[in-house]
Amino acid sequence: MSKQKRKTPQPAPGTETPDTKNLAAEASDVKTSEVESPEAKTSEIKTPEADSLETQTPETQTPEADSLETKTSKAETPQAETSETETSQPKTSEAKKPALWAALLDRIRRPGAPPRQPLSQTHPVLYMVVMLTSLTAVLAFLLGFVNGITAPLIEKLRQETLLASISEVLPGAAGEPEMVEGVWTAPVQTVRRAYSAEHDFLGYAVEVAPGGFGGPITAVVGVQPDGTVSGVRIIDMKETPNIGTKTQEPAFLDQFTGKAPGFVLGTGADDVHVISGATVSSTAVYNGAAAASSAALTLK
Amino acid sequence: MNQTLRQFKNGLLDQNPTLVLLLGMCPTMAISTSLANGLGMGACATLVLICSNSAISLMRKLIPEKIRIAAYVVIIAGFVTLVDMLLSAFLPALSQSLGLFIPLIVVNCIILARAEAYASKNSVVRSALDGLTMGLGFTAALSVVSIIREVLGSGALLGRRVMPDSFPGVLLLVLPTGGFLTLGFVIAATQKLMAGRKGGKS
Repeated sequence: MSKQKRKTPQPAPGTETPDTKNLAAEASDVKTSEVESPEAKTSEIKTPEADSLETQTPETQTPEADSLETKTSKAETPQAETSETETSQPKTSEAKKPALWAALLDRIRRPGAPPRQPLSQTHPVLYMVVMLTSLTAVLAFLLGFVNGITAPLIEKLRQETLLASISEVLPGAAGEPEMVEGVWTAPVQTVRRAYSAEHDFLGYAVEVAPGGFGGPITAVVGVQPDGTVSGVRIIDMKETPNIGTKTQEPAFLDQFTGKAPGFVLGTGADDVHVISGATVSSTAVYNGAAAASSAALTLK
Repeated sequence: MNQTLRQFKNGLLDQNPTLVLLLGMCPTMAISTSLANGLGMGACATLVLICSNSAISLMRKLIPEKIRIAAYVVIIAGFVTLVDMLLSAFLPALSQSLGLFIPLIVVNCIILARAEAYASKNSVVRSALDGLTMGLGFTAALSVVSIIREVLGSGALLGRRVMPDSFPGVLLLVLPTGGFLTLGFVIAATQKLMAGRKGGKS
């Protein structure tokens, strides 16, 4: 494709000037020796239209050739010219060159005509590869760019939500809770010590991520030093809307408040009741809360 | 103007994506358990439809025909991810309520279908309008199904109790099975309505 593209403009500047001169000289010297392809030649040098066409592209034309041509076209009327070309004898070797050259030049100049064949027509498979690759690359770049902007904001919001939830599950907690170093078994993710504004130890804020119906449910469990659960808040979940998501409503979560270590799922007065239709999600939240309670007990 | 009206009628009735073209069944079943969810999903899908239709219409002459589906999927998935990231960073409250639906939009075939059937053949403005009307049609259909399922299934509307307390709620309607049943009845009613309209005209 690229070879074809380059070929088109290249011969034009080199051959144009001598050719035009040659033709113009020919025209003025030997009128009868003109052309056997009338369209190409007459349009090139004789008719006024051709002349105006020539002058439209001054960068490819030398002034001498231009003035010569203007002279010849002025000297001869188009009518006389056509009659002469009709009677002229064939001069194949001389006529072929300008015909091709004129055709190429004509193709370039025509306002609507594409100067180069598009890649999609000459190399369709290459075009597909290039298009899909560049499309994907542009989108990937865009996504990376937007992610670079939004990721810190999202993380900041997540931290804010986490801190807000901690102060909800451990009422009175103030400031940044202090991380407890240690290796935790799933679903426990992190354990923080929460203090009140007067620096009294309130309890542990345990971040858990038990597996629910649609992936891990991230939650914060407040646990008092004796292992009693003081509250549960869901940070993030991808449960089924209106079924699994019922587990983040207070009606379900408030059951955990005040549960002593060793609480179980069941139907008794002191048990945690699952939501019918959302057994998996309810059990997941229970697992998280129970694991948080036992994790806090081991810290004593 | 006339064409604009026709496009609205197409999106809402004659070619309603859910009730007539039967596209996007998966999100319809999963989402239409409550009106709030239906409206949220509808709004998200409309936004993405307008964006993706416009983008695909802009690029319709550049995309080679043989790989158009792959190109559409890349564009749609890219848009959905962008919307997801921007929402959760700048509108966290909206993201909290719509966050669950956004990943579902990627698998919503309405968007791919409109890209293929409309946006790849029409101007940018028309395609954006098509996204809007089809999105509205989807939202309307989702709303009708959700209202039925929420009122009869949980006895509430938009989270507020509308049925008498003695009404227990039909759990079947909340589950996907109930979604199919409700949708079947709604489609039948729509067809009956439209057949009546056409019969009256001719």
